[in-house]
This record gives sequence, structure tokens and C-alpha cells, in this order.
Amino acid sequence: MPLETLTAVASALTAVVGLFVAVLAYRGFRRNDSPTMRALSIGIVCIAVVPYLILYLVGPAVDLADAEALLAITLSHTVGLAAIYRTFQY
Amino acid sequence: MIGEHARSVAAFDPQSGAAGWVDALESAVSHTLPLAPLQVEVEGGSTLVVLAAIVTFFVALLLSVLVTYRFVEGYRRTRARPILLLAVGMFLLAPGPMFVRLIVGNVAVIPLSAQLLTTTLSELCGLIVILYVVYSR
Repeated sequence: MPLETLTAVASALTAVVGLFVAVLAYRGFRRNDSPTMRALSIGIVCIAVVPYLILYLVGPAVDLADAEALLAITLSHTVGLAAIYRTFQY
Repeated sequence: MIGEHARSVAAFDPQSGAAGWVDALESAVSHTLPLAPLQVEVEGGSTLVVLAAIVTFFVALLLSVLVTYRFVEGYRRTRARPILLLAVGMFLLAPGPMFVRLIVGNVAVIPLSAQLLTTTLSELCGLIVILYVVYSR
């Protein structure tokens, strides 16, 4: 299997597992009203799911330049990590 | 070029004072240094977007290290195994791949596909560790 195909499969799997973890964390937030779980859910979506969507769906669809896609992905990472970091202030 | 430089220095007239020094130096410099201004060429998008992407990358890197550190700190305080696993998972998910991108991205010998595969597998492993923690709660 070529390296590119392996990477594409691993990326898709990462997005699916990320979405599953985010749903579990969100259900934990709904059940226990835990802000930590809500932040973890938002963080995982922004770190693992949104970059995949930008790279493989939104980017090709709206013809994003490399730098624009990179900026969108790093912004998504920053938002997700900031959401998780905020929970440590509680 | 060296010959022209030597001629311009040899043409310096000591009787003309400071102005003569300036003229001679300017002449020497203009003969030895390239006249093109310093330019940085950016590929793959506008310069502003590339700069913004670099800045946000470093902000995200800093945040990822801080988040991982806070999890490690939480584990050292409570000795709770799930928090240790969250620290490991977070490291594999965010700062690990970012450091790989930062280091490997500047080494031309390693192909981009190998870098992408490494970072993606690291993220996947991190997510599986976090999944284990969230699922077992």
C-alpha cells in the first residue's frame, strides 16, 4: 500500500475516532454537567476532526491555498487547546 | 570585481577629507556587495496569511505544551492514573505531532508523506488513549 494511501486511511480513522471521543465526552458533559468534559469535547473536535474536514473536504471544495488551509488548521488547533486550557482555571 | 574595488580605493583622494572617505567607501561597497535589496519570497499564499499561520502555529504549540504540563501537574498532585493517561494522550495528540512538524518539516531528506504518516499515527494513538480514559469513566 503506498504511503499516501496509508496516510489518508490513518487521517480518516483519526477523524472518526476523534468524533467518537468528542461524542462520548459531550455525553459525559450532559450527564454530569461537567465543564471539563464539554471543553474536552470541543477541544477534540477542533484538534482531530476540523483539520481533517479542512484538508480533505473544505480545502478542495473552495480551492483554498496551502497557506490559507494551514492557517485554518492552526487556528482550529489554537481554539481547541484554548478551550481545554480554560478548564484548568476552574 | 576585486580589480574594480582596488581601483576605487586607489582613486581615494586624501585631500578631500571626510566626504572623500564616504565617497570612497560607497564606491567600494557598491562594487563588492550585490545591489538587490533583501527579499523574502513566499510560496503557497500571500505573505500575510503565511505569517499569520506561523504565529498561530507557535501559539498552538505553546498552548499544547501548557495543557500537557497542567495534566502532568494534576497527576503529580493527585496520583490519579486517568489524569496521567490524559497527559500521555494529549502529548501524543497535540505537542508531539507539532514538534515533529517543526523539526522534520525543516529536514528535506525526510519525505512529506512520511512526516504526515508519523504525525497522523501519533494523533491516532493519542486519541485512543483519551478514548480509553473517557470510555472507562
